Amino acid sequence: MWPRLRIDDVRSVVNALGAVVTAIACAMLIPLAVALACREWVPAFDFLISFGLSLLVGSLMRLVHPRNRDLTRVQALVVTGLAWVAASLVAAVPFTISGLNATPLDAFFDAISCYTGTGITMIQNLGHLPLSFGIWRMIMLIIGAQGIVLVALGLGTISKFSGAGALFEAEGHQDRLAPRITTTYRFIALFMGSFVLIGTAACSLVCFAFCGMELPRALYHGFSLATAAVTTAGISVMDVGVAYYQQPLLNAVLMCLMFTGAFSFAVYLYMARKGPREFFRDIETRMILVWGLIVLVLLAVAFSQDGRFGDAGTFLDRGLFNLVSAVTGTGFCTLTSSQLIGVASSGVLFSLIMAMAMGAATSSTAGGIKAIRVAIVLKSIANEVRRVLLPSTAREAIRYYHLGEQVLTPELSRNAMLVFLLFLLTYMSGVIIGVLNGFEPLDAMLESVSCTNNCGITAGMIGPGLDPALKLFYLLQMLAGRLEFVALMATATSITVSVVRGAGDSPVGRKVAASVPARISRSWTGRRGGR
Amino acid sequence: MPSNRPFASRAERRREHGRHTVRSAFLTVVQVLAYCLFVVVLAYVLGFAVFLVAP
Repeated sequence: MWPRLRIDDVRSVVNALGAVVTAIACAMLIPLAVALACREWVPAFDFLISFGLSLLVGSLMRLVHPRNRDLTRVQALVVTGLAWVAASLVAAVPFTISGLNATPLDAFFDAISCYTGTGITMIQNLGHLPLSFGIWRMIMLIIGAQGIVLVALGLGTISKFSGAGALFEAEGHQDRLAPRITTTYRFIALFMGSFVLIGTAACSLVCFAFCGMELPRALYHGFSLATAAVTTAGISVMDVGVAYYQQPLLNAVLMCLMFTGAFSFAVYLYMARKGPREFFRDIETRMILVWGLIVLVLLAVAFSQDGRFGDAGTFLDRGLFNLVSAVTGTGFCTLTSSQLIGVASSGVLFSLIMAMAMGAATSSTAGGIKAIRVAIVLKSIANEVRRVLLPSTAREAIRYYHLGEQVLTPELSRNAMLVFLLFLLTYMSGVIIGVLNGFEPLDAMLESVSCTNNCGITAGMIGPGLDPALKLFYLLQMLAGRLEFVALMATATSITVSVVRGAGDSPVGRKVAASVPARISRSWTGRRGGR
Repeated sequence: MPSNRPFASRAERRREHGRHTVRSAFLTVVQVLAYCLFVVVLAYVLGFAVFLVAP
């Protein structure tokens, strides 16, 4: 029996979504202020209309009062899944009104791409984008990197009593950095803000000193590059991406910033408490470094065999940078799409796909399978082999180091393998759909893995001219990669079952709802919730 | 570490704890940047070495 949403559930979900929409509407005040300050009157009008519309919708949704302030786990799952869609719909409004995107679907695609940190864009002529829209894209990156629901929780638009823990986990945050969610949000914001600030200073300096830019332009480019690198989104303010700058020093700075966003923020906090040695002791950090080394060897072989990129300087400039960008799930690329398809060998493409396939760390700004799951799967396989070799009476606990000594339980192992398998199936379905639409298999694989892992390195197939059905498919892949896979499937199932069989207060619905792990947080009267 | 001085007022202890938190967070940010820089330098060195010996 599949649990259905009841009217009370719908009321709670709509109320919480209203809070998210209101938060996004408030965030639009920043680009509005920028537009007014820069005298961009038309974009200012676009943002004013969008702000008013979003605030109105959000406030109306907030008027739907839930019977109980606490969210159940099912409600939290639905809120998290729909919050990303609702926030993207709201964020797409200014792009649609301004005509920067050809269709509303393109604007929605761009918004999802920004929030999930994928970075693929449908906007053409990025170099002439108004400054306010450029800032709006960066704000979306920052909100998405922290987690839309987490931002709403941190800013207090969603009540902290409203099942915060379930919302937090459903959004894909594996490790709670502090006992309180708001404190966790502050830690993430503090670390991310520091990296963006230091990165902006470094990138602006390089742009100003070595790229011949004026100071205001250097600051804008520096801020955009640093934000895109730390949030591992890889968005650029120029059509050709980072290839525009042709500056090896800038590439080195960006590589450093990409790594800061790709490693686990939970490990950073653990470092602050336990000491700097914790960084390299962590299994996730080690897994990312080992995986990076493996794909580095693969790419070096592919480059050395390819006569067109045959010298070490080109390899370090074009190969290594793109490799780090792929391993960290950022998506900056110094090769244009035509170079990727037409000039680079299949070995280079395959190496980049392999580099993207794993994803970065949990509690990082990147999406994907995540390094810890791959490490757990490998450890489980090794354990199975060892179990066969050992005497049948032998019992041994398998341990790994992640935020302290941990024991690898069968449940952890099963969960990691399940998510690993789901990602592989998603990659494969993307390849099949791409091939059916006339893409080359390797190009289809690059697009599929890139979208699912929120990387954004593209062979150029995804663009405004793409079939709308395919756009929707890649859009779903991006969401699946960013949110918890199982949580997203549970949300979709819950909504589908409720729509097909009808919501309401049927006896069956009540019975099933009662069996759901009920109230997850203590209500503020101190009584454990539950109807 | 936060003050263990006897008779330190609650507000004083909280202020000191706050200062300690900010200081350790700042130190961590610097350490993380240093580690990431080290990883990038290592990647350049290893990349160059691997490229030279690659078939």
